[in-house]
Amino acid sequence: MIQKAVIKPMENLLELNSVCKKYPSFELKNAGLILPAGSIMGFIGENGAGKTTTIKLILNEIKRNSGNVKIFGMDNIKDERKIKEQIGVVFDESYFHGDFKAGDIANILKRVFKLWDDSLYERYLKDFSLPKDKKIKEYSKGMKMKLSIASALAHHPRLLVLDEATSGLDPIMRSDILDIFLDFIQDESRGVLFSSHITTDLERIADYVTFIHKGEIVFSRSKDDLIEDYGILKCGTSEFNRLDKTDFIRFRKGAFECEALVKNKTAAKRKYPNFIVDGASLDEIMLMYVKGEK
Amino acid sequence: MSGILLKDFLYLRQQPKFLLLLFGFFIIFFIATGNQTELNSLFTRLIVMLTSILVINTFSYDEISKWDGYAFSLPITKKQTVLCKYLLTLILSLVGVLIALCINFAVNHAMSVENFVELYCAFGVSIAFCSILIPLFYKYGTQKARIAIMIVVLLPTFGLSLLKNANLPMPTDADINFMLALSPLFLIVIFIASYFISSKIMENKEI
Repeated sequence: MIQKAVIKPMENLLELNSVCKKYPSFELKNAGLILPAGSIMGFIGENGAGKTTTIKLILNEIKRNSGNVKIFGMDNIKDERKIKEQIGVVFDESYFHGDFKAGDIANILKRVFKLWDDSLYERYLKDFSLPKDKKIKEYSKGMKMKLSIASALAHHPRLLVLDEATSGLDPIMRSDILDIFLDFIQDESRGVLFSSHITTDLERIADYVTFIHKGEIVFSRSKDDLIEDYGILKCGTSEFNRLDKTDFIRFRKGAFECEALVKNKTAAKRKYPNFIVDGASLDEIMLMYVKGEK
Repeated sequence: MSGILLKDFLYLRQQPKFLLLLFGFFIIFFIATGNQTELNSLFTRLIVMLTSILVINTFSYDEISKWDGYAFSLPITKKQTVLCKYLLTLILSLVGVLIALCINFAVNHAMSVENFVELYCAFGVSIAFCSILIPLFYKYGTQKARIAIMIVVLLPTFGLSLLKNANLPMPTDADINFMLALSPLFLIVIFIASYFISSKIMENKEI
């Protein structure tokens, strides 16, 4: 009888503690995040902020300088193979040779993963309308991405790591792919780490959002809290100059109008009843952190 | 691990046209020259060339499809990935020798000791050649390592012509027999050493 792993509620699938990686021109500083089971974490940041570096460190593709990474409670270096049996990875580009067909990939991966499930793979191919007789190079970009996802899911992974998997796809294809992730997460023992700079995708599916900027994690928290708490205060430039700047995380000054990011929308509304304080989208929060003044 | 080896063989499946062309060229060459003794040496040279070309091609395909970045996310160690390339070299060289043997038998109905020695030499050169090339590919990638191929091919040629000019006495049969007897040990050492060097390069490689 096959015993199903018993997962304690809210077990952490992924934990990063003070992970550092130094390059001559870039440094990832004290990266920390926690991904509980049963959730999707959006990992946002501008290009070059350190998203891919963090993902490579999680997968032990590059060597960290300090800190530790725990996946399913195990060290990602010491128990690397055991962990990787249960991880599915999708990058922004297809990594299979263009002359391969979908069946070739199954033939390769069934010899790589102990838990490879041919019938599940076939089901995904059917669900995603991926023709088995076509070469991968004849697939569209969206089809290639779906094939990568099918091949990442067919060994029953518990953690799905996606690096810019929906970037470069049209909205319909992106929506299809997001549905796949939502479906995947129905099993509460699973989790998804999803790096993207398309914040609207994350607003739709993420439970947690981690924002990285210039190699530092600015925040890693529940999306609902984030959307609930953060706000954008709008006022004229002359009025803004009279306000206490310490109330704002970042601000942008135009010739006539100013916008400022506030951490607590309700408190800001109370303190500045004469100004407009709107909710902040992930896009606005990201833009403010990257482009705004302090 | 067999999955990775299978991937390399699937790459090679894409090349029958290239292989047929190459074989066709050699067969036409053989018919044109009409010299049966030429056949063996032609095929022996072909083995050396083909093994190296096919192994190099698998590296290029890996690079084009950005395979390594993905492979590192799979439950396979870097050492196993490296080992696959060495197994591939060994298998391709052996298959090459087998094909050459079959063709020789089919045409000549017999094999002389010289034929066997020649085939063994071809196998040996192919193994030695790949043992030098594989670590270079891992270290520098296929683009930069192409220059290394030129050097690896040209150096022995230059070396030989230098030796000729040095007016050293030609090796006697006894010398050659001694070298042949010693060569399996040399091949094993260079092949294993090359594997360890490649593994070390890969362990330190960050993609």
